[in-house]
Amino acid sequence: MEQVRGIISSSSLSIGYSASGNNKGLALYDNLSFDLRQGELTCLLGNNGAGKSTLLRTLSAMQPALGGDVYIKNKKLTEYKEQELSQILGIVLTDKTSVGGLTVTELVSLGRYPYTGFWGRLNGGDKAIVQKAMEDVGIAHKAKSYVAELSDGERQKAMIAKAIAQECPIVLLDEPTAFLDVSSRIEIMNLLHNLAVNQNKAVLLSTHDIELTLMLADRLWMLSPTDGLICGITEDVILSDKMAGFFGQNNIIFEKETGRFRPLYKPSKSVFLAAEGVLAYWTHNFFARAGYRIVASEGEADLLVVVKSAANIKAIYKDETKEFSSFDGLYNYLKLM
Amino acid sequence: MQKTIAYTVFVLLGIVLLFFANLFFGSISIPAGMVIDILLGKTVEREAWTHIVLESRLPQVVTALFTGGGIAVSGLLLQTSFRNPLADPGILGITSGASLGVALVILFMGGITGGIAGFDFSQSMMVVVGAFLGSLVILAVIIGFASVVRNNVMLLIIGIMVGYLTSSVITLLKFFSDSESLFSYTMWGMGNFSSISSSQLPFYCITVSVGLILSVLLMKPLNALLLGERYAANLGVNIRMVRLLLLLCAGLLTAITTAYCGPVSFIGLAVPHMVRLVLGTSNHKSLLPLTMLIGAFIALLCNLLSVLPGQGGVIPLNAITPVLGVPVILYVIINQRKIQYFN
Repeated sequence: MEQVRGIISSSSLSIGYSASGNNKGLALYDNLSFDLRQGELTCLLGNNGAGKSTLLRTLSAMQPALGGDVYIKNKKLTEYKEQELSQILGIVLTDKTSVGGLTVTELVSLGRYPYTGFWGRLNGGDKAIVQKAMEDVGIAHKAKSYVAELSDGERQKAMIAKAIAQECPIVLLDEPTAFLDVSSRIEIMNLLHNLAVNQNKAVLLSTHDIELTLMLADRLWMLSPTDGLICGITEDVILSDKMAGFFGQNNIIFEKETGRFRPLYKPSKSVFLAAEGVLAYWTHNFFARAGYRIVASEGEADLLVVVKSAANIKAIYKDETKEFSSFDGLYNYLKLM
Repeated sequence: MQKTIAYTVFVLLGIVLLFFANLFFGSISIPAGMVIDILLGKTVEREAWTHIVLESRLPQVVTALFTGGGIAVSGLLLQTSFRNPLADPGILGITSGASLGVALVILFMGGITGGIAGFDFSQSMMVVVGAFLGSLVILAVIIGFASVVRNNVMLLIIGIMVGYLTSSVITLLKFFSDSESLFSYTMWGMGNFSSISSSQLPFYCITVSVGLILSVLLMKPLNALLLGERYAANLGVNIRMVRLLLLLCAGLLTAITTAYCGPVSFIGLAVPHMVRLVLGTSNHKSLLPLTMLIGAFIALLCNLLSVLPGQGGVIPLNAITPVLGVPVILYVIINQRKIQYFN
């Protein structure tokens, strides 16, 4: 099968800070290779300091590459003029802005900047695009509000609408879900996924939100000093055990079953659980946290627990059976043991 | 937009009103009928009155009009480009550069030639040249730093530091100068709109207009800059170029107005805030034109207030501008969290 070239690609990119004056410079990565594809939501994961922002800045021409070339639509990034690039690549950053005194419409209209004339006057087409962008992100009802009056989530939506109004096939976002509450995070991530799929855009965002990422990202880019940049369809990355060493720490492990990272508990006792479905999941969670190893047969277990419902819990320890009507009771019992 | 137009009409009316009020009232009282006759070109019984109205009051009003607009716009440009609510022409050291130039002319040159012919340097064209060169030198230094230092806050701090350095030189000059020169310098520092003769007026008005027109041309990138430099660059703004043009424009306006009128305080800082508070927007399409107009309005008002004592007395300009400016600035500082246009 023919290799599909992404809208942004590179095969040997070095990123970092170049030497200047007394600054010796710092190369973060050599030989990064990647393809960013249209119609997909790609999430860039990496620890703080791993270089996510540096990579995004390099891709958006805000910071020069130390070596190698970034290709956008098969043309070198360095060969693009500012004006040209502004119609291809839109960004959403965590930078502080001073747009509080603009209305949402005025802010989103700034996305039309590359297309308007000398005075920045919007024509009918521009206005329709701005309106559509606000509707796409679900902020149209706040069109006349000041940006300063918006919640953090709404503000982020407005910035995304600005990027949509810019009509770029590529949208790069630096931690768009940081500082947001859970519902806003889900909303924004879902919005970005729909944006990628419905409008055939290449959306790349950096995030720390692993659960949501594994749910909604079509493709993962994992950046770590040990492994460099690992790219792949989310499920491929998970099932090939590449997530395991992601944090480079032994005390955090990745649970493939749930798609979660969790601290490594050092179990001293063992328990056999008899529970089903949701109850099994949460009982498991409860005992893992309490420092128990969950074993498969009754014989090797110190403790036997039967959960029929959240209000009907039986614990059998050394032939002595206790009954509890909540996990609270079980919790207190374990503490006394 | 309708609000903007309404305010524009309102302020324009105010400007016209104040313009004529400034012609009718002065430290010497001239009957209103006479002033009208003089303006209509009729000869009046006292020659001196014609002279006062046409050669003193009229140039002064026009000067106030242009200076107010110029300084206010310069303040707005600096506040937007530094994204700092407290930026003004004084803070980048441009005003203090002008002061240094003037101090060198009045205090240093006045000192070495002192008393020879009783020549008063404070009245000469040399003051203007000194102020202009002084501000241009500092402006060049700031622009030089601007191409090296990418961070605007750092640039602001450099401006303040340069200001301290120039004031230390000025202090030294003051220390070694005689009382007469010192008095002349102090008078210059108080600011006034009366030092431009009708023959210099066209040059002054044209130069200020060039700065004002340039600022209007920068309206589109100014709005993009509200997003910060990285967003603006992503929208296709040539940041380096725009920043240079903004500094040049603000520098030119500050240099020319300070050279002729002395360091007029607070108008540059306060007027853009007044306009934002009144209009409730930071969109430069409304903000810039109204800043220009309200700047002119405030300057005319200050000029009128300065001659209010009547017979013979004139209050220095810089004794009045803070009275109007400080309340605005205090309001801005105290309500900085609530004021939405800078977050």
